[in-house]
Amino acid sequence: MIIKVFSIIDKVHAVSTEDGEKLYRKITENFEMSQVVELNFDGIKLILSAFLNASIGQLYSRYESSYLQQHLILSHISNEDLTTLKKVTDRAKEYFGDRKNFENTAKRT
Amino acid sequence: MPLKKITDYTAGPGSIHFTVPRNISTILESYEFFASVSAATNQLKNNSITIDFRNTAFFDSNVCSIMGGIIHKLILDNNMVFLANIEPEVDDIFQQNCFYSVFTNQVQSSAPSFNTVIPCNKFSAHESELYLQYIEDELFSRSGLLQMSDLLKNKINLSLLEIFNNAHEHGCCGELYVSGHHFPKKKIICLTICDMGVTIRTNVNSFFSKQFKGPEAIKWAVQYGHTTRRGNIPGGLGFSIIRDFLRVNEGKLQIISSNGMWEESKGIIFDSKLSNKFQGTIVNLEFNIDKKYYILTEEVDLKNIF
Repeated sequence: MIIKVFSIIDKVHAVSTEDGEKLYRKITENFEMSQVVELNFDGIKLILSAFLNASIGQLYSRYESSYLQQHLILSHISNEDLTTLKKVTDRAKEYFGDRKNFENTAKRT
Repeated sequence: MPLKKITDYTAGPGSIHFTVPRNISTILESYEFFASVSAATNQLKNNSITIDFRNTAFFDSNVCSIMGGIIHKLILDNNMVFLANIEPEVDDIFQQNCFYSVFTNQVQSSAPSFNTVIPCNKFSAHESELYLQYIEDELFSRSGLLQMSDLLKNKINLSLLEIFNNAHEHGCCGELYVSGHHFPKKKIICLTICDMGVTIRTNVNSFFSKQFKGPEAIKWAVQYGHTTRRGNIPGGLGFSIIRDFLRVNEGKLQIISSNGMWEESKGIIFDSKLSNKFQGTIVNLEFNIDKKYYILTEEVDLKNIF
């Protein structure tokens, strides 16, 4: 399934958390049907970390890194934006890793 | 109109007035002044407040956004604001950067005759597209003003958007004020963004249920991965992305919020506790636009991105 980011947010600037959430919902709908998703960023001029946190970082609350590696493909995204995305995915892994550790510690105590 | 310019003003007994220092720019003394006005007027409603410029000879264009934020709050609280004894040099700056028209909602001139002035404007939370258009029109599209690579433009755009996003998401502010100045000889552009929303200190204190001092709260907030947001959307990247870029660019980041001032300039960090609490947040960004500051990015391996 190819998802054109532009057609979801209807803007050339992928900036807001709200637009990121729209994309997140679209991705998870397809994951529910076990579909591989290709995110196509063609036509998007700017991508902000807040948008990536909401659309892709949030996926780590439900899916493991290995699942995303197998089910999510990126296309038409610049190396600059990939650098930001790498920071977002690294941060998301830490964030949800820390939260699980925190919850496990809380359960034990 | 709740904002008026007056001349020959002399403060009478009991009047609420503030005398602006001689030089207003992005220096500690100027931030102390703005914090003192903000703290003293925070609870005022239905009053008359006079801001007296009789001693002021220099007022950097980018700092008008701070004055804009303070006046905006005073007007929202039903106060009448008088700008008194403005010297012609300062009045020129205010005219050229459309400072007065921000309060009258007049259409802004897109090409001020001082082409080093980046006009003052205000934006609400849903106006990110207008904000981007403003940056494009007033910063990037002026012929001959700035010659910079697309990559540098992109980085500046993203830095300014990160601040816009932070102000509306964490500061919960109604309006955000922006103005700027281009210093051609130094090859620097300064953009100062001011909101009168929830301070960083308030957010951090409420997150930890502790009492941090102003500079400590900012110091915490600018670290990688630090965010006061909870829930399923990770955060804490905005300031660290800006800092990474400004280190390479040899630029400057200043943050003033509550009684904290924090600055990183060419990798050197400075902080200070202000005597008064600024009831909002100021972010000043200085970008080096000299062509030699190219940014090298590392190749990202798509296979390992998740």
